[in-house]
Amino acid sequence: MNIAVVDYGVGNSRAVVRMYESIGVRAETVSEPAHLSHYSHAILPGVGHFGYASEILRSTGWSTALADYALDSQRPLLGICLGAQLLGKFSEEGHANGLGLLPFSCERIETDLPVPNMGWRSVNYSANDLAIRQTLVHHRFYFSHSYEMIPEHSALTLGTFVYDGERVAILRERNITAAQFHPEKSHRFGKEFLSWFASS
Amino acid sequence: MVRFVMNAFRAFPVLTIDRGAAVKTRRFSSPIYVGDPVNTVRLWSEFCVDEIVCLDISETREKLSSRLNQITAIIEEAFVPVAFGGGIDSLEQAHRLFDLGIEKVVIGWEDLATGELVDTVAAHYGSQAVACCLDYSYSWELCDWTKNRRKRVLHVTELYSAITAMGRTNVGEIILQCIDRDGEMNGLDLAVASEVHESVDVPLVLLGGVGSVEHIKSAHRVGCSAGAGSLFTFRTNTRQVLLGNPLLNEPEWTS
Repeated sequence: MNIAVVDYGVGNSRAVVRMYESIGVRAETVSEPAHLSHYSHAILPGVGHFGYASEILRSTGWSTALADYALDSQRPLLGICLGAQLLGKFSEEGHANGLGLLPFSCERIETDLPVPNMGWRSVNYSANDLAIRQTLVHHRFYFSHSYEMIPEHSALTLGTFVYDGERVAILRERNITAAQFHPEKSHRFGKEFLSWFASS
Repeated sequence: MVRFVMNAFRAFPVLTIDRGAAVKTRRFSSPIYVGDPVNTVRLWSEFCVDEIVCLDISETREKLSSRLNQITAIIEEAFVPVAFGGGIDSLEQAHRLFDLGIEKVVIGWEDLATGELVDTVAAHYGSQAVACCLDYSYSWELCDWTKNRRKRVLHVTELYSAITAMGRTNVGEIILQCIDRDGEMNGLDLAVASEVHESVDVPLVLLGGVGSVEHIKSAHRVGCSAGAGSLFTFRTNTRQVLLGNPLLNEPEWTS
């Protein structure tokens, strides 16, 4: 098993690699789309503007490589924070298209509470996936985002958190997972989550 | 009025860095070496603190560009969000810090122009990404003494108007650091909290004097979050360096 953390110049891929190193799992940053197929798992991190990042993925050939990886070879793919949002169809941030690998879109968070949502939030896992509920028990994660994922059907939602109402924390369908929080900034909970992904 | 929205209370370690080394001061002087900042951050992260605030307190500060290597290393070792402050005086510097993966910048109060910088950064990154730190003392002597050391220190009587001015900006939170209590581990300045709550509607963090988990709880009782240096750095009151997280066994005190 070896894990590729996509390095496309947007977000801190080194931090994710370091977290895997700390739990003894092999991971490395990959900056060449053509090399992705050598890895058993792939992670797309990301911090910043959706429109900008989406264009980078397209122009560098990463969008094609990731689609091949997740849809053709059907290997596990995890998107983190902006990387999670990029797995969807579209985002209001930049009015840009995502990779379209999961059926959801991103909208700006509407609330009287401060936006971006920045801070630790408890995540509740849905009842659907028993294996996950047994592995990932009560978890808190660090969130930092202004846009949220809106799934096209509720079966896609694996985990939620509360911030003036219930919002999506994790979406998942088959081998593709989108996590809105930052596991690499969520100490032991992040390690457990990344460990779960490595074993999926 | 005690205001905590949605478990907004936070308690976290504050790491003071002097010319690249992690130090602990007492009343802003007599710094003692406690270790390498990168190692300190790694350990606190292992002990599951919820966030770390790093403040560069060097008197003669190197340009930010030469400190970025250390900050990069800190980010890589921290599996928790990291805030950074110390000599940030431009949006450009804030950009570089956020690019590296810093979650929040701490801007030290200098004068009324501080509010403009705060608003500029908040406009780009959101209010919660910007904190303002006001250092103050009840002693005019301490204020004067530190004035030449490039650290603007307010007398407590000047504090309230400064806070009111900051309250009119888009600052995400205000850190009140009491020099008199810094490193003394005798408790926080709780009196200032009730006065300040009347004048601003911004989350407050008390810093200076935490020596026990009880002190952290006392901050909560007056509606403030708590920062702590000594408590996460020393073994009880002996000031022997032993990094730790006293909140590890108090899960209800994490957010």
